[in-house]
Amino acid sequence: MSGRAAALASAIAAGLVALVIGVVPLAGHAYSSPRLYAAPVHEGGGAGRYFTGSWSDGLTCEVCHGGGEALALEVAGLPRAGWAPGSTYVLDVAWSPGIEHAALLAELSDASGRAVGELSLPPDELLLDAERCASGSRAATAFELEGDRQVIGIGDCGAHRLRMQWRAPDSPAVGTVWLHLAGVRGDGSGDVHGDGPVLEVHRLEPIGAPAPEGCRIVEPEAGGVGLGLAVLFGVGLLGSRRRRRGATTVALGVGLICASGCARVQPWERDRLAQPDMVIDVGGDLVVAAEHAVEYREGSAGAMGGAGGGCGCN
Amino acid sequence: MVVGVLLATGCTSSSAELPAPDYDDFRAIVYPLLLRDCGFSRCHGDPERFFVVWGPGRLRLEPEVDGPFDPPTEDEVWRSYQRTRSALTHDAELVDAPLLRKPLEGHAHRGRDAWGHNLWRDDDPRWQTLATWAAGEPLEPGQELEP
Repeated sequence: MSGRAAALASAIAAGLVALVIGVVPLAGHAYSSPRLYAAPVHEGGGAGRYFTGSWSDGLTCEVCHGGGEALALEVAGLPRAGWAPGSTYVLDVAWSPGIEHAALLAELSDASGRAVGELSLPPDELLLDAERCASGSRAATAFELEGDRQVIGIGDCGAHRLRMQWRAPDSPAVGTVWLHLAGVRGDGSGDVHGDGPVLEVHRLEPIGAPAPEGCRIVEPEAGGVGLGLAVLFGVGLLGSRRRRRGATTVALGVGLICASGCARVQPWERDRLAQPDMVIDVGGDLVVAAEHAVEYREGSAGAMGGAGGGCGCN
Repeated sequence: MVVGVLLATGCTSSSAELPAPDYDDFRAIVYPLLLRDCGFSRCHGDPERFFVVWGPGRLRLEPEVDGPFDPPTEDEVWRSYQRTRSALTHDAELVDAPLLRKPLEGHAHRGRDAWGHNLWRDDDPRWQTLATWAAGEPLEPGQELEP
């Protein structure tokens, strides 16, 4: 090969090397690939720690990453009104395509940290471009872990969307399901400084979970007891001068109610009972039934709010 | 003269004890455990902290020489051992040493997880491994951290 050709070959080779170095991401300190979470610590891996923040692994990406703007997630498809047993949901997590470096881990678990229901990824033919790495390969990987855990991870490969299909358990007895989304927005430096970690925890309740009752007994408070005693004493005094028996009965009733600490459930605690269609309309057929019962038992009629009638009420 | 003044001031030795647990057990079992659960960049992989562990995927002793995922060097393991020993300094009871006390529930340790729990409990096999090693007792083969 002539000198000129050799020089040209060297220049081309140098250019190719530079191109590769510039295009291939550096293997930084950060876990750019989810597979590193399972690698032994002697290889720099997580030795089974996935940092999802779930009950089984309470640590999150914040133990390493920080100093940067947090990864902003857009989450859709969650059964926020409650998950129905046996139903299937498509959980959709996305972030801005303008973010060059991002990684995400997702875990669905119950309160004990175990996987709940069945979680799966879309088949290859249904993957969207946003769910693929810049190389065109599938971005998400599912990991089956010890302790009956399942984690889905996307590494820093250019993807910006994760869709997961979740089939809910067949029984609502599983209770609350926790969706943990742990992610990092990288600054491209290859190390953990200047990155923005995020942890989103979504609590999913089953449809059919017991709704709070209209009036529940709470721990008696000193105020309630005191008020009850005061009413009891005051009305008792009043009753001693007038109709002792009737007034005392009323005082006892009021006092017991106050002392029992029966608290009114606030609207935001009533769950679906707060909805307008759950208000019981006292009237119509309900009132008719009560009137008929009184007529039958007492042989009387009327005294249901109108003038006159009744049995010794005035 | 300075030395004389220092000696004359009657600087007495502290009653604190500095354990010297087995180094081979540290290298094989304790060091991987500390790397996995403590050596994060914003925790005890931060060089500004008193107790530090160095290793791959975390804080490197010589980052200009060692790649981020290269195996741990002998210097890293030895330095981590010395720092771990220093965190075992205690006056009365060994269990009061910072390394054993602070990661437990109810003690001052910023390493709380997303649920507000401290790192370990005293019935956690990992803490028990650490405590056994710190007490100078040999660790059983097979207690190595599984990959």
